[in-house]
Amino acid sequence: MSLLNTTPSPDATAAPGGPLLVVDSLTKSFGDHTVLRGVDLHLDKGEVVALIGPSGGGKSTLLRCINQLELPTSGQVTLDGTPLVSTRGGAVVAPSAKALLRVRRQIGMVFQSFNLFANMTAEQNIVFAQRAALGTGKDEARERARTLLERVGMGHKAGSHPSQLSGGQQQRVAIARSLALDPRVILFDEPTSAIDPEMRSEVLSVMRELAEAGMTMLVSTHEMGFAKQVSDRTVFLCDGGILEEGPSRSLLEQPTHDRTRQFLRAIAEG
Amino acid sequence: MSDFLADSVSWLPDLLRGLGHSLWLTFVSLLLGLPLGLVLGYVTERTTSRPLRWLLVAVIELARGLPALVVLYLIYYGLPSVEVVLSAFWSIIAAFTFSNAGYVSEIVRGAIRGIPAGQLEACQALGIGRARTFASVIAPQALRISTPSLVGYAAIVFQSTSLAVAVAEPELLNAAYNIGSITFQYLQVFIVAGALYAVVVIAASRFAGWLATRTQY
Repeated sequence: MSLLNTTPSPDATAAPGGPLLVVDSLTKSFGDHTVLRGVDLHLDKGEVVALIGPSGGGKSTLLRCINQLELPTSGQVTLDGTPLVSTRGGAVVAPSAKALLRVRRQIGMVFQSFNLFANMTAEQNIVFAQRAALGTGKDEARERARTLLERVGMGHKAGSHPSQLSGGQQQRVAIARSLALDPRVILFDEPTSAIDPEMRSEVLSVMRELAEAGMTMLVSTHEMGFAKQVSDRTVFLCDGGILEEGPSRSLLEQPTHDRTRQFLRAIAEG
Repeated sequence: MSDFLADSVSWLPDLLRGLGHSLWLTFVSLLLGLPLGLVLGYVTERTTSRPLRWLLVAVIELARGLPALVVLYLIYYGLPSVEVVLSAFWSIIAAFTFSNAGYVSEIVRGAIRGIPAGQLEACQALGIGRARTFASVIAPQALRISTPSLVGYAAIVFQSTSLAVAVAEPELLNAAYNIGSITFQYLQVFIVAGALYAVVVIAASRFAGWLATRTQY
């Protein structure tokens, strides 16, 4: 069974060929500290891109700039041809609250720490997201929540609060919550890093199904197995810039850059 | 001993009437102070305007810094000199509401800070608006975190209603004092009055403790 809606999504009508998500010369500084130094990246529709690299290299910041949880310092992000970053006279300005909501509803985000609403059950989390963000009717939202929970294997825990769920279970609910808004692309910020190793596979297999169903995904991860088997391309982000990128298998098996080799060796020795 | 018991029983109607009035003062000053403190706490914590924040912090610090009795005297004895005359009851309510708002706002601010940043980020990432985020995610969690503290604080407010004796409001301590001045059995009557305060406060703190265990998810 597919994890995605079978109804055509809005981008089915978009002009074919062009990339769905384009990141163009994106920089981000916090005071004097520069975290991203001009990142260029593009994702085609249905493409899965793994974002790897050392901690502090800018992976999280890049994802957070794409959906503007952080305001980029300069550069642009384009979704299906529509620029997302507000600029005035070439400079990045804080977007209006309305523009921000519109951007974020199209870009799903799955966090390392799950961030399920602690005061709601698994099902309520998904129902609330749909009702608050999209204004979906109660019955429709509930039905969709149940369907999605079944699909991530969490139907039996619909009435549980996040504190009653394991990390892997919480993350599957969080993925379902993100899917409930029918995002064009989902950003995953180290989705398995906070989960016990033996529980990671249940999350990774949900993500694999999602990829097979054609979801466009940008996944920051330390799971090289997942990157190799599931992602189409891998991007190595280091010191705020992309050092190397290419088809996942070749990049991970035969990296050209010394720094990439060093990183992959360190991960393998874990 | 039997005399003490018999006397205590005979004082009880007056003392219980006083206790009822103390509880009423507590209730009214909290009824006004709680929402004021909630708004004060939330706005202070979330406003992006620095002057506004400084102003509100100054008000909060003043409310917490001034002893309630000083505020009560200022209002009851001080304000008439600028033609503002409040009854003893409303002077007490005004003074306590002011203090309560200050303390409650601090409890609420602490609770809002205690909510993990990820809860807010999840709302932002899902494209959920500010008002909805506050009403459905922040407020319920802040209230849950702060309920035991608020109940504990209500017990302190109840204790401090004894300050109302200073403006001759007929609350519990005042009732006890009047009985003492008639019977000269100050020791006995204050023991009984003290026991009544203690019963209410201990019950409230037990309730707060029970709430603290009950309100975990």
